[in-house]
Amino acid sequence: MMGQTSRRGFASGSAWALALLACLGVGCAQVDPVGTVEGTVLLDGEPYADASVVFLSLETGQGSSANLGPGGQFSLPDPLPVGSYTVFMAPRAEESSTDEPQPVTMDAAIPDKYWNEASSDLRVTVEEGVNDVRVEMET
Amino acid sequence: MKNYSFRRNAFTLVELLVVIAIIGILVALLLPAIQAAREAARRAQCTNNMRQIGVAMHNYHDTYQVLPAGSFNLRHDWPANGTNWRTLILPFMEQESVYNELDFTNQRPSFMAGGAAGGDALIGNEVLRGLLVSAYRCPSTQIRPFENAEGVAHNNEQGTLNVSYVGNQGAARPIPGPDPNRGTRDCQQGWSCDNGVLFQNDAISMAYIVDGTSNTVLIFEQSGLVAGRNRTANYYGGWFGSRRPFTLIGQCEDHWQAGTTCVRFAPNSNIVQTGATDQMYRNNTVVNSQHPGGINLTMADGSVRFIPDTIDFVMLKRLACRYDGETVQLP
Repeated sequence: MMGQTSRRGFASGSAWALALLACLGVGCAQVDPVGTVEGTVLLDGEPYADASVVFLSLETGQGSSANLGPGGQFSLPDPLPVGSYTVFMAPRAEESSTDEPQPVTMDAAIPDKYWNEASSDLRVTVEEGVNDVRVEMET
Repeated sequence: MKNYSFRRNAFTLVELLVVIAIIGILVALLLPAIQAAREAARRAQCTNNMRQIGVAMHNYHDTYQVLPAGSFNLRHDWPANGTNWRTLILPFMEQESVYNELDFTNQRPSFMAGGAAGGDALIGNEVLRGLLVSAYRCPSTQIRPFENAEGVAHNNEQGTLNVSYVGNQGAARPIPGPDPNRGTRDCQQGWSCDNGVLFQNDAISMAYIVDGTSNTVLIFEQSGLVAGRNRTANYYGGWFGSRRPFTLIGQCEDHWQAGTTCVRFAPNSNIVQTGATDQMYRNNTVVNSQHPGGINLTMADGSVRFIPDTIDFVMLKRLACRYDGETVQLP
């Protein structure tokens, strides 16, 4: 009787070990599809570079942001889960700031509505793989 | 025959190798499990801390018939002498001796732990220097208790506590419900909110939590890093309050503070947005933790829940907003 139980324990133990090895080999986690995002920001058709661009999903709260390079180019540092994103502008992120608190100043050259996710009407659908995005703002 | 039985008394090399290999595999399986068990214990301790804070809030409410202000400032001119809910509930966290030593009437910036306060930093409130309230610290955090963070503005030269828990200001617009803009406003430091429970320069009683105390968040955990840096709401140290004496519907200028946050991004987001999450004094600092997969939060009824990073974000905003009209409940 004792022998039988312990043998069954050993059998289930080895089954677990096998399952675990299989997991290590294949990868257990079910990874959600993601897409990398890069592109250009335009203001009335001209490249716009004086800000950072933020992608934020109002459904999931996931997002990412990047400073705009010369010519309005950007490349988000983290891949985003696929889905619909609201795009808006934020002041450029500086390398490091140890100053006293500063109020945030916005560039008056672009309309106010582009400065936050609640009023921005820019939408981008991120798909799996590489996404090349043109963000077009109008005054 | 005798010789044969003698030979059976020893293990062969193959048998030994098999045994060693099995032991090796078992140890390899066990070590990660030990690490996971230690993290589970730390998370349990963290949960317990948040429960203590919830109970302290209720005792505060029983005493004063109102919850503490999220953060406040009583003076118009700079420098200011404001503090946040973390000092107000100290007597209910078994820290009455500390509380009795605090000076709330000082005209100097005596809750600020450095920076613009200069030589006035912590004057009259020296007891806060190096004060460790262990219930305010999540054991899993990698932020050192009295660190003055580098690469961001922290101004904690005097070494006051980096608290791991942050008050719920509310949810940033658009909030779920009939009026998406109610109770949130941008006053130069990200979305300030007063649709939550602990917000600037005002205090509410539980009667104002119309969604119900078990459906509204009181405290979030905030013990992780954003892009490798400490960006928790501990500007001027863990005890500072509001820059301005204004409420959300008052003058809309420079509404920055410490000790509370308004939910704008998913838990454990890695977003460094200028004006929202990049500095400790902004209003939308990310709620996060080092626990795998999610964060703890204290509901206004005092219960503590663990929510996953993948929580339905609209639901999280509903939980943060006290009057969205939907009594969403965590499963």
